[in-house]
Amino acid sequence: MAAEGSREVAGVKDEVLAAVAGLSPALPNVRASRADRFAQAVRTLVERRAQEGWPKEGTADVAVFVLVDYPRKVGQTHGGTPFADPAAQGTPLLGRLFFSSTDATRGQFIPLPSEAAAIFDWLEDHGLGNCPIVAVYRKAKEMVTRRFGTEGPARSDVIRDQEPAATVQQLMDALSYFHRSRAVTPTRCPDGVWKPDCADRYIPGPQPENSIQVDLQVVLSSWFRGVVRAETEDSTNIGRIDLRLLTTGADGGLIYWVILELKVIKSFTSSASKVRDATNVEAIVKGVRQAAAYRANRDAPEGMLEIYDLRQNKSEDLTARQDVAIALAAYSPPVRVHVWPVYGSADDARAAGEIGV
Amino acid sequence: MSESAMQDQLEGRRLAKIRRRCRVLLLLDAAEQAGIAPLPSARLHAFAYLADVLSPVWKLIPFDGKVYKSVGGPRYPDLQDEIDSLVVLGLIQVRDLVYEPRAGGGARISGSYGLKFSSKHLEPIFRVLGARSAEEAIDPEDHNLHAYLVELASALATLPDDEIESATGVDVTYRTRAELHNVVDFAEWVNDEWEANPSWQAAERFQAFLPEGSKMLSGEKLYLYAAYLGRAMHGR
Repeated sequence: MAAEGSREVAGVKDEVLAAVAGLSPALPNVRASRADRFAQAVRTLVERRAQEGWPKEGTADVAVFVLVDYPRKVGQTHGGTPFADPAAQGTPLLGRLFFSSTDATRGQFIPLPSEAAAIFDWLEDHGLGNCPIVAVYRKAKEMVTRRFGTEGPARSDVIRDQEPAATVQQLMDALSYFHRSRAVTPTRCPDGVWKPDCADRYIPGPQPENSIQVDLQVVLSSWFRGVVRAETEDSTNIGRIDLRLLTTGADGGLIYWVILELKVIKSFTSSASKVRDATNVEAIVKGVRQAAAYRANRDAPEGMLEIYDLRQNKSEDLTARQDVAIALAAYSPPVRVHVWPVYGSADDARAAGEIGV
Repeated sequence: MSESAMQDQLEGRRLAKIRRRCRVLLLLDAAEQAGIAPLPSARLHAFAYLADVLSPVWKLIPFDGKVYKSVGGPRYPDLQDEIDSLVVLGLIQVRDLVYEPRAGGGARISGSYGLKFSSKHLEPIFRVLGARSAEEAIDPEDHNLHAYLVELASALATLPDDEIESATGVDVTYRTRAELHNVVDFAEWVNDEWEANPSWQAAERFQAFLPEGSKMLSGEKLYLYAAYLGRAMHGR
């Protein structure tokens, strides 16, 4: 057997396969959990509709999407109407409750069976309270996701009027959103960042970078769906890249755009041993070097070091240390470094001036 | 033939029937989850074929490494027998029954098939077939098979309904493989399964158009292959 995919396929034009491969930033995020993948699919559908000015919609303001195992079964129970590819078909969304497949491409819908405010009660009464839910509010331009059902935590996203674009500014917006909505306090943090029940003592989990990496991939993939491909788990001959972002190049093929190196600085190890500042500085220096090396290795225009600061006392900016400055000065263009404070409690976050926590 | 050999043969046939029935149920479960059920007969056979020919992409062995190429798309007579049996057993439902004329004369009965959700037997069956978790499955690997079928059905769900069965007409293996007596063999008696399966080759080929080091996952290859089929049907 030839190395898989290494040579042309008889009877198929390479340019056709290349054009299809270029669609990969628009694919469902198969790396994500089912609930996250569903939320991302609904977001893509709804934002496209918002960007088109909500055509074919009446005066209704709310749509609700529920991820169910068997859309036809649930639809039949409630007198549903089948839908297929609502993005392409222009199926009106507002004023409806959708019993949906994971990719929100198929399923059944019914008119909203209750006032929007009472829809969660209706879902619970009909055995759907544990299903992932996305509620869409047109006037408020808001999408609220409950990945674990009606009783689970809610995540709010803005329904964007503009299509995403692969710009550094938008990436900064996405990273800031991730920090604010997924990292800043323990209740919002990905599982594994903090050791269970030890966040208030600032004791992290054994591999906090990995937990951040997985969730950040989901957020970036959702944010940039259609224009950026976000990948994880890349081993190179010089190490392991945390996150890499690809976008479409001038010739229509995908190219590397940004290499993201993730580092955590902390006050304690997961076994509660104290971590010295010098150790954290070494981690930052190493991160700068890795981001620069991976950027060169992958011929990407941007290399970024994202530092998640899990220290109890965040008063000193360790990126200002001389060792870090020397490391940064060694590369041109410089590696962009961002520090994101992560707090062990909402009280600490508020005391530090974080808003809305 | 000795009595024990006859018993072995009977046992083998019985097991083969059970395997085909399980196959039908898993195909329909995946189709239901992806929202493409109920499936007309031709679409169900097309899904079965694509599930076989693309199974190496998920590192699975095809259930059936060959297919009979009939007018109107791939056809598995043995599988159809079990579909009919499962209707009688009350595990799947059929609707929209029609007579379909055949090119060589005569007709076949065709319908649209989906799970019969009111059956109390379905849930325990799906548990042991791995459709719920690896822990509950008789063979934990079946959970991976089910995940594959759901992913493939979800990829095919991106195509309009009527294009799912038409897709086999542009599938690379179905379209290009030399046939003997209308049988397309991609993994049954062939010496080299990679060479015999250009659909697999095409799905793996997508990786070549990403920059070095970029990693395409199996599920993404299924979606891209479905997109390829969609384009090929429209001559793009």
